[in-house]
Amino acid sequence: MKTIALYSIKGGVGKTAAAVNLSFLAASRSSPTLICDLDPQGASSFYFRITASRRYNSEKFLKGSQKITKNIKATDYEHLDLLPSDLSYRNLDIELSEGKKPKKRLTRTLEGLEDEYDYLFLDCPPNLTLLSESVFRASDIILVPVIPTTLSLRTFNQLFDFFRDNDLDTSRITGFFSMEEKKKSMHRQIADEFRSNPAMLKQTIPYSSDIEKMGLTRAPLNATNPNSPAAKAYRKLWEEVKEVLRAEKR
Amino acid sequence: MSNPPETLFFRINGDAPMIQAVGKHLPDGWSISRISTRRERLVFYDTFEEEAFRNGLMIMRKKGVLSIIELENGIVEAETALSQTPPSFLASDLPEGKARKKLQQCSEIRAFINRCPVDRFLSSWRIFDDNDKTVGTLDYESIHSSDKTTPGSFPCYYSITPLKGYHKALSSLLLALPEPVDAYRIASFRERFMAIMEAAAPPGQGYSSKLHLQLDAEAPIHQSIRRLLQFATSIMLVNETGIRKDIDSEFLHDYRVAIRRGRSILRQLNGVFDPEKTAWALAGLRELGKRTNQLRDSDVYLLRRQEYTDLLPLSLRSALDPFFNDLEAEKRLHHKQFCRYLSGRDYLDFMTSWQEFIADETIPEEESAPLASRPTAKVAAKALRKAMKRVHVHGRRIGSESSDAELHELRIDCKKLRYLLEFFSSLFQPKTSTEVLRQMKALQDNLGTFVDLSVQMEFLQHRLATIPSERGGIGEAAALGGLLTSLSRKREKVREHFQVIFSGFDSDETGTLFNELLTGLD
Repeated sequence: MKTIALYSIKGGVGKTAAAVNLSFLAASRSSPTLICDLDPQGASSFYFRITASRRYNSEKFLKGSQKITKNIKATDYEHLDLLPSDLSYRNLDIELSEGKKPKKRLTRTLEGLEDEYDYLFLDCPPNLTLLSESVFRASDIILVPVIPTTLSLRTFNQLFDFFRDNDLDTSRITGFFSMEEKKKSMHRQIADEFRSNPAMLKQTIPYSSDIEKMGLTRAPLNATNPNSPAAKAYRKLWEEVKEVLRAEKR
Repeated sequence: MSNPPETLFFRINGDAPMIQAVGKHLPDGWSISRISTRRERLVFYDTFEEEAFRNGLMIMRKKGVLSIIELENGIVEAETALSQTPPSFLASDLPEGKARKKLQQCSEIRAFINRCPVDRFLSSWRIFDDNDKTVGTLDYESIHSSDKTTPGSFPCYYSITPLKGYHKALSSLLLALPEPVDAYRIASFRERFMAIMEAAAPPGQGYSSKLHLQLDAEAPIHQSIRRLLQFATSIMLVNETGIRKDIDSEFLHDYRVAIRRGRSILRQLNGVFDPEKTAWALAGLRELGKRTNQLRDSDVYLLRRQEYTDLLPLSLRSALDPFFNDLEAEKRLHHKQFCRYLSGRDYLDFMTSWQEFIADETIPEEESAPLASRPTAKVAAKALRKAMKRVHVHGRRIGSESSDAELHELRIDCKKLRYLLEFFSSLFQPKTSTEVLRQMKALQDNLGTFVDLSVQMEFLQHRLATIPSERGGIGEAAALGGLLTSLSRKREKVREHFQVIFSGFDSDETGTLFNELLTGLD
């Protein structure tokens, strides 16, 4: 099983849209896929119209194994399941800090899922906390959407610094430009400048009203409007991500 | 037709309005909407003896994939690609893998026959909750014979499948449905499969070549033998199509056993029919048996291909190809000849007279058939004692110097005794009968193996003497030499073991068992 974390310190950069569309593209008969909504806001759960059962909470999530599998729900799309988030996830950091080896906790929590799934997508909340560190250790690749602005790039670089300071493997960080607006000269300029950066993927995701409309359709763009430019961009992005995963395997 | 275990199938009798029933019981804000209608061609396979079914399996081809499915739960055990829809195939024809292994466990020699192709029409609806999220699917399945030759009618089913994580959400809907009686009944996977098979009238229809006659001890032996001959004839007739189509070698095998069984009983129990009337019948059966000998020989050697290949070192294995190619050509020729005979006037005339003969209930005059009206049990006891004595006398004469012919004779004596025991088995205590048959089997296996090995060696020796020199004769001769050496060693081991097996059979213990068996019959 390959674990792909959609992560950014900044909010509103297109993490959930990427997690929803990439997981939809990853899911197939030969590669069953799970998307795990870690954000208490529950945006990816919302996109798939899934709510957690009343008894489910962060405590059960951290217990892992059966507590998790019992709460996984099928999306409307074949071979794609989702573990919904719950508002109680806002306490995950506190609960992690109270337990043993909090940085490795998520890895243990997710044990056993590899029997059923080939891909696991983690849709992460926007911050840099204990949960984030646990996510970094549990993931094969940390996929970071970056808006081509100086502030966004700054947070991307902060992530590298954090990895270095905490002896984490920076090669697992992979960024891609998100919400790129070609008509904005700064976007064009930054995207051109960083295209050759080995940590950045070549494919960018354009700013698109089609992506925003996912809030209305509550479905992956690649399911409702696969011919839209943004859906095509996600398809190409997924091809590149698969390449990175293959290279990482080697 | 496989399904996830959580699917609930409702069998529909008549035109029960399931969609309306589901619609009426939907919770507030829920809805259903049709998503698709599609057609699938399903082809079911099993052997003539339904060995897959007896092993709790269903074999089905759908969209180029052959699936082996557990009948108990509908779970797919193994799958393999099968691009065409062959009329029949052997397990060994499949690519290496789990599917092949599973089918080999059912049968290595019987072919899996296309039992019935059906078209399944599926209409599907999604069930949405108040959030417009799909929580389950509702499917309507109707099945029709795809070749229009099947007269039976297939049942229709509705099924409801909750999506993962939505069992609880759907349970209130399921509980609200009308009682699953009359109109709806929850149907198991096995039941759905059986319903298709019943409607499609499978070719074997519970076929078994094993003899299970319930005899009346007091009934005239004439009547009991006719029943046996009628059974044997039914086996011959039911196997004719399989022989003609050359589906697998067991059709001919069962056909030949039926001939031998009938002939052996008729010959051993002389005095039951007018000898003038049985003479032509015995001659006819003998002729029929003889006409199948060469075809059966070809079948047997072709079945040994893997065994022979495995006996040789890698370097000699391919040298056997011309040998097997010639066998295949000979088999084609013998098959053609026998099929022609089966369709000819002579065979038809013989079978017509034979069936008239075994249908005739008139008990012959005592003068020409003194045993005809004697009770079955009395005749059985006498015939069995005589056959057992013959086995003992001939068996005790066998020593390390005995010829192949003597062992062959003893094998025939054993077969005769076995046919009698099987014929009369319903008159015995089941426990004692099983034990005697077990001991018989050990002796027969030993003799059978010995004679088979001798026959094989003779056959290979003959081939060695007549190898066509222009086609890599040296390699083939070396391969045949290798085989002869292995078979000869094996045969000597079997011969050495004969005395141990026979003394087990010729013991006081078996004698007591045999007496026990016949107690009450005399």
